Parts: sequence; structure tokens; C-alpha cells
Amino acid sequence: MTQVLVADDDPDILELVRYKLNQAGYEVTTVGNGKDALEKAKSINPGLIILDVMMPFHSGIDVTIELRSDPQFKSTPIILLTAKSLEQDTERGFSAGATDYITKPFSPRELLSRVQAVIGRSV
Amino acid sequence: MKLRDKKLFKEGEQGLIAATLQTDTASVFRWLNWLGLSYFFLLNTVYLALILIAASSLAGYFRRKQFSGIQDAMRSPATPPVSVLIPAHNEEVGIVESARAVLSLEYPQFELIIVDDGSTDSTFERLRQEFDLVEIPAVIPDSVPTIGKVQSVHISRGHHDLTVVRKESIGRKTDAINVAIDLAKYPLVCVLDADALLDSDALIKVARPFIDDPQRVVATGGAVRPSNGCAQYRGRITAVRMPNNRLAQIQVVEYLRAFLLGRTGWSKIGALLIISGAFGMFRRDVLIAVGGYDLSSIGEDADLVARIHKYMRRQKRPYKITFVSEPVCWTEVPETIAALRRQRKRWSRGLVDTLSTNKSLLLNPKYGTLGLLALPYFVLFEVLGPIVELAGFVFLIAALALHFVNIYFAGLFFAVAILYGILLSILSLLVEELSYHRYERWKFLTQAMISSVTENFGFRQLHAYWRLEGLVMALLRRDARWEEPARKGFSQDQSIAIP
Amino acid sequence: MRLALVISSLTLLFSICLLVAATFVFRLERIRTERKTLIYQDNLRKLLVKFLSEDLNPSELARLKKIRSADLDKLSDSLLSKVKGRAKDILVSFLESRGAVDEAIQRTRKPGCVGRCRAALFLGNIATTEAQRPLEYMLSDVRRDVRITAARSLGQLQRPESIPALLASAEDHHRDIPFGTLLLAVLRIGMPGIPGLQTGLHSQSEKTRALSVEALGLLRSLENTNELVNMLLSDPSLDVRIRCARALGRIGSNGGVDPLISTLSENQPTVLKLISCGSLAEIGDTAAIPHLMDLLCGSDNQVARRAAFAIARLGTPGVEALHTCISTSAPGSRYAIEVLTTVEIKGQEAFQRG
Repeated sequence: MTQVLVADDDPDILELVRYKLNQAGYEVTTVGNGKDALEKAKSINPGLIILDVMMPFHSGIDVTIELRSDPQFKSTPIILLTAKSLEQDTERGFSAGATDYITKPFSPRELLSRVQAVIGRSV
Repeated sequence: MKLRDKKLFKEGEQGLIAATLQTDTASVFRWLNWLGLSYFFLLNTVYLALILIAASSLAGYFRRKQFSGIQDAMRSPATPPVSVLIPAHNEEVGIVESARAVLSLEYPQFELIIVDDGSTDSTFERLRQEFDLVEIPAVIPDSVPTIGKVQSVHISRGHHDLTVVRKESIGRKTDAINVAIDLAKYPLVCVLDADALLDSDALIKVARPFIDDPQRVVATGGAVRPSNGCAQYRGRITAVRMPNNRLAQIQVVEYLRAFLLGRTGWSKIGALLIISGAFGMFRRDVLIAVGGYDLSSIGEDADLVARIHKYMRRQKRPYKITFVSEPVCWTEVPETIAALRRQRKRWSRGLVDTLSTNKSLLLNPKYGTLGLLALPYFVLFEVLGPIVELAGFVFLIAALALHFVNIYFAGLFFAVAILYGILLSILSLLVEELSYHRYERWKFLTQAMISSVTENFGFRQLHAYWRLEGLVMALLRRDARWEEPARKGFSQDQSIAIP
Repeated sequence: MRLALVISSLTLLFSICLLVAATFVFRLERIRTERKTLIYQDNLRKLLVKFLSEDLNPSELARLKKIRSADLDKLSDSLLSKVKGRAKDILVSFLESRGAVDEAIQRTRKPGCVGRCRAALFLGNIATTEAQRPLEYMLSDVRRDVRITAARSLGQLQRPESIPALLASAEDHHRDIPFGTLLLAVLRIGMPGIPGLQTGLHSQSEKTRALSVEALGLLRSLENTNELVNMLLSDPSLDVRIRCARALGRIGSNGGVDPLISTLSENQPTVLKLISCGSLAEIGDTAAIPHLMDLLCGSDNQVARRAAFAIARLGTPGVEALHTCISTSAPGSRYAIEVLTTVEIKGQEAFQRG
């Protein structure tokens, strides 16, 4: 069973993601900000990380850069949740090392299929 | 011999003139004491009014916040790109971290320009290694005046939009900022201290007024709070805490009262005079039109804003200079008496300097609330304040010792000067608690409460003395102000900008 | 004197104590309610999310339908803006079955600024056609917050019919709505809104014209090139002219080239020249090269630098022109050197510098 770490400051999003992925058989850990995400990632070593871009303290992009600089997370898939559909932001996300991104509002089903695709690719 | 003469004289004349002398001096003393008392009363009442105005403006802000759609601003194609400017002098310790923290701020499009102002340490070397800098044969357009010679301009080979300028220092931060203004390519510029820590959405929040009202907003300033004691990670504050240092604790309350609520109040009535040198955003074309920072000014932050006010009034176009109370920029405050004294002396000097160069604004109805309220306030309470405050206490003690006033008057004086002051600080804490409640733990709240009380015993009087020193310095060195700052670039007290 | 002392100190001391107490009480109260609502909302949220995934069993479903709390409305509201697809459809029909739309429409005219804001927000999220009139009405609400929320929600409705109302609200100086909000709203409506925006070009109000110009540029509305050209040359407002220059660059029609070139002349404002350089580069017509070269060799450093970057963007002829400039060591050659070096280092990214 793959461990998934989800970081977002919005409890609605956390619950939406948690429920959908739980249903599909993933074990989900949720955190509310970027700093916790970093700490949690290091302690549970998840198989997939989903990060919101706009979070207090450290943005999802910050966290991605930070994780990618650590050999432990060299190949862990990272999906960014972004509320904006600006080109330069997805660009920034990808150049920071994100595997994929999903724009909010999102459809839980679409999220699940993206997650499955990303995990399938990485295995 | 003289002494004996005096004594003789005294003894001889005593009977004759003692009575009249006594009543004359007494009435002068009483008069002075009442003056001091009224002064304190007026000062504190003005502050009370400011805090109340700020509180109502904050209430509106918080009501709006849930509907403000800050995400919209991130998404909007109309969000203007920003040039972030950081002057740095011997900042090798934190510069790479600061630069990285700025480059990862949430904002659609921005560039970062760091001006290495004659550093003698490895500030530039560290930046070069981290960001893979290469020199380019850049030409500095002289849109605003600069003095120090630019040695070289470098850009990052990576995908960061980073420019680093190396220049000779003339010992003034303003010169470095002006070079950066020259090189900035975007319509908005954000001036930032090298050691300031920003929240990741600070830039978008401070740019927000420009997006909402592009025709009118010309400058915005962000709130600054002390970073001492807070948990930091990679150039960001991760947990807000109260500092352990007593002096810093007092400053937390002071910043809250004076810089957060005070400036929110001034901004609300359209009379904001100071935009923090640590975190301010300006329209570049306006900066160029007013000639950038004044290289000879000591209180450059207030001076710049005053000149923008003057310029915009001359243009006869409606304009706004706004204080944004939320985007918090965190900066280290001095923790020792000596450092704090240096800082406050400099602020006081700067303010006096600014007011004297911009005295045409004072009581000038053309400048609206700025000329009629804010400037008189600054002259009456900030410039003359320390004299009256200190004199007030000295005369009170003297009058008490000489039995010119009774203990009740002293008590009344104490109530108006001290208790009223405490009341204001506590009120500020209440407003903070109802709005941002950034200091989460009970311990912090209690510490802040205690600081509000202790601030008024000792700190406030010391502060008045330091300001007086600054005032005297400003008056004495009027003509020689060019020679003064050539100490060590803008290290130490100079780098601590007015928040 | 004694009386004055007693009264003043007692008042002050009393107020200080009151304020201290108030601070602590407010904090206690805040923590308490936060904790309470958090737990309650958490459970509700779980139920709702499960409902959206169509996984509720009948008894849970019945329980959900019976809940009549404001919290549930609030939660459904906030979830509404975060999901799309099937989940959103479910949520919308759930809210409709609760009569939430009618209730929100009624609330748009009731006292209470927060209530009206929330209603406007909700109507935007649920985006039903019947919300258009009430939202347009709210554009002239006495409270600014309400006006802003209503404008944003009208954007979410994506009905071109509401463009006139949005443009009209830009003209209202007493009950203003931020420029950025209005722009985003009309942009959300998108291409269908173009005819409405065209009428805004002839408005008396500077803000309305600026808004229309900016939106038409961002929507790349080719058919309005001529009108934008006219405004670029003759609009009384500099702000509007600058926006026209930028819009012409975005639209990219060759019809914009000559007028933009004419704004590069000596007597034009610097800000306008700077923008026109960029727009000419964006259109990419090499006819601009000689005129930009004039600026490059001109006396204004700021403009010369910008012109150099613009020339470099005009392909091989541009780069050649810069090389010629360097070889003849003409006055602008230092900018040419800077640009060519930057392009070498940064590639296409260098043009962001222009």
C-alpha cells in the first residue's frame, strides 16, 4: 500500500483528497503547511507527495525544491495543487522538480486517475 | 569667597524677597507642570484616536478578507511585474538565504536585483557560486542620480531572474537603492532590507492596492514586526514567538502600537508619512519623477514619501499612499541598549532632517491631512516630544522637592503620563488579539502584557532621551551632514531601516 | 486636585484592567469556539465529502438531509468553489434541493454586509443564470465588499449580458469597484464579451476605457485593432494610451506597427515609448528596426536600453542591425553589446529583460 503525503492549508481540500485516495486504497497522511510537510516527508518517506502551491510559510514550490535536493526524495513523485493556471507557475513548478500538477478546482476522480498514473509511472 | 558672599547675600535678602520669589517660582513651576500634564494628555489622546481609527480600519479589512480573493490577484494577467531591490553591504552570512527566499516568493512575475555596495567580505562570492553568475557589459541608465561607481553587473545563468550589481560604496544605502532603481525593468519596485524575512505571500499582498486601483496608488508599505525569537527556516518565519530578551519584548509591543496600528491609522486618514525602508513598494515612474532616494538625506524613508506627496500634489492628480497592515515583513531588532540607542538616535535625526527639508508641507492646507495633521503631529510629538517629556519629569520632581506642587498633582501627572500610556499599549494588544492574534501561546500574551507595563517605566524615558540626543545631533550637524555617515558603510545602525 | 487624581487614576486603572480582562476573555472564547466548530465541522465535512463521492448509505443520507445548520450551508459553499465535474454537479443539486439559491437571492437585499457578501459569493460559485440580475443590482451596493464580491461572481457566471453592467460600474466614482476585480470578471466572461467591451471604448470615463482596452488586448481581439490604434494616437488619458500600446502588442496585428512607431517620436512620454518598444518586438515586424535603432542611438538611456532588447527580439535582421551598430561604434553600441551578451547567456529568457 502506497503512502501518500498531502499538504494544504485548506481543510476542505485535505478531506477531499484524503477521502478519495483512502477509498482507492492509499494510506494518506495530511499536514497543514509546508514546514510540517518537510518534516513529515522525512519521517514517513511516502511514495507520493501532493503539495498545495499557496501555503503559509513555505510554498509548495519551496518544499519541492527542498525535497529534491535530498537524495531520499530524488525520485519520489510530487504533484502540485495549484489554484492558478498561469503558464509561468506550472513552469516554475516543473523546473523545481514537480512530476505533475493539478489545478483547483479539481474533480476528485481526475485527481485519482492522475495519482494512479504518476505512481504507475514511477514504479 | 564667592560662596560666602552668596551665603551672606542669601541670608540677608531672604527675609525681604523670599515670599515674592517663592510665589513667582512656584507659579512658573506650576504652570510648567500643567503644561507637561496637558502635553502628555494630548499626546496619548491623539494616539488613542489613531488606534481607534486603525481598529475600525482593521475590522473592515478582516471582514473583507474572506471575500478578498487574493488568489485572483495571483491569477490576474493585470498583476504588474515587480522588481525587488535589495541593497547589501557585508551580508555574507544571510545573503544567499535571503535571495533564495525572495526568489521563491509567490508572485506571477518578478525579478531580483541585489546591489553589493562595496562589501569587503564574501557577499558577492557566495552569490556568484550559488546562482552561477556571469558578468555582462550592462549599461546603467541614469534615470535617478547615483554617485558610487558601478564596477560590474552580473546575471544568473540559471532560470532565476537575478541581477547582481557590484559598486563602490559611498557609505549610503540610498545610493545602492538608486542604482537598483536605474536597472529595474518592471513598473513596480519593492525595496527590501537584506536581512528582512518575508512571508511567502507578502509580495502579492503589498502589490494588491496597485492592482485594485492602478490609476491612483503610487506607493504602499508593509507592516514590519520584530523577528527576534521567532522560528525561522530557510529565510521564512515558521512560528511566531515572543523573544526572550526583555528589550526585544518591549519592542514587539512598541512596533505593534506605533508601526502597525499607528501607521494603519495615518494611512486611513490619508496622511501616511513613513513607508518602512525594510519593506516598501513604489511605482517606478513616480520614483524616477521624484529623482529616487535623496542621497544626502538621513531619514531617507520619510523623505522619499514626503517628496512623493509633494510631487503628486503638484501633478494635481488624485493619488493614494497605502499602508498594508497584513503582509508581514520580519526584521531583527536590537537587543542591547547600546545598539537600540544608536538606532533610535538615527531615526530621530532622520525625522528631524526630513521635517526640516520638507517644512513647506507643514500646516499647508494644500497637502490635506498630511500637512494639517500628520506633520504637526510629528513636529509636536516626535520632534519636540522628548524635550517636553523629559522636562516634564524633571520639573515635576523639582517641584515636588521644593513643595511647589503637592503629591496629588504628582499622582495625577503619573496617571496621565504613565497609566494612560499603559492603557494604549494594552489596547493595542487587544486589537492585535481581535485581529491577527499572531502570538499564539498564553505565555506570549502574558509577556506582552507585562512589557506594556514595564515599557512605561524606564524604557519610555530612555527612549525620550535617545530621541533628544538625535535631535541635538541633527541641530548641531546641520551643515556637516555629508561627512557624518562615512563610518563603515551602512553596517550596524545604518542598516536597520525605519520599520 | 485630590478628586481629579482619584477619578482619573481610577478610570485609567479600571480601563486597563478591563482591557486586560477583555483580551484574555476574547482569546479564551476564540479558542473555545474554534475548537468546538472545528470538531463539528470536521464531522460534517467528512459526511459531505463522502456524499460527493456517492458513498453514503441511506441512513447517513437521510441524516445529512435533515441537518439544517448554517455550518452545513457554509461548508457546502466553500466546497463548491473547490470541486468540479461530477462532484460539483452533486453538490449543486444538493444545494438546490435545500432551496439555497432562492435563499441567497433573497439575502442579496437584506441588511448585513457579511450576509450579502456570502450570498454573492455563493451565487457566483453555483453560477446559475437567475443570479445575474440580483448580482448586477449588487454592483451598486453601498458596501464596497459587497460590490467587489458581486463583480467577481458575475465573472463566474460567464454571461456576456452582464458586461454593460460591469462597465457601467467602472464609471461610478462614488461606489467604485477595484480595477483588477472588474478586469478579471470581464476576462472570465471571455470572447463572448467582446461586443460589449467594444462599446466601453467610447465611454466618457477613463477607467471604463482603460478596462475595455486592457480586456480586449488580453482577449487578443483582432477585430478591434483599428479602434485601439485611434485611441493610442488620440486618447486624452496617458494611462489609456499606454494600455492601447500594450494591447496592440498582445493582439499582434501588423496594423499596429505604424501607429506604434509614431509613438516613438521625440515629443511622446517616456513611459509610452518604453511600452511601445516591447509591443513592436512582440508583433515582430522588421519594419520597426530603423525606428528602434534611432531610439537606441538617442539620448534617453532608459529608452535606448529597452529599444536594444526590442531589436534583438526581431529575429536575424534585428541581431544583424545590432552587430552593425557595434561595428560602427555608434552611440547605442554599448546597449547592443549588453543585449547580445545577455541573449547569449539567457537565451529566450533574456527578452523578459526588455
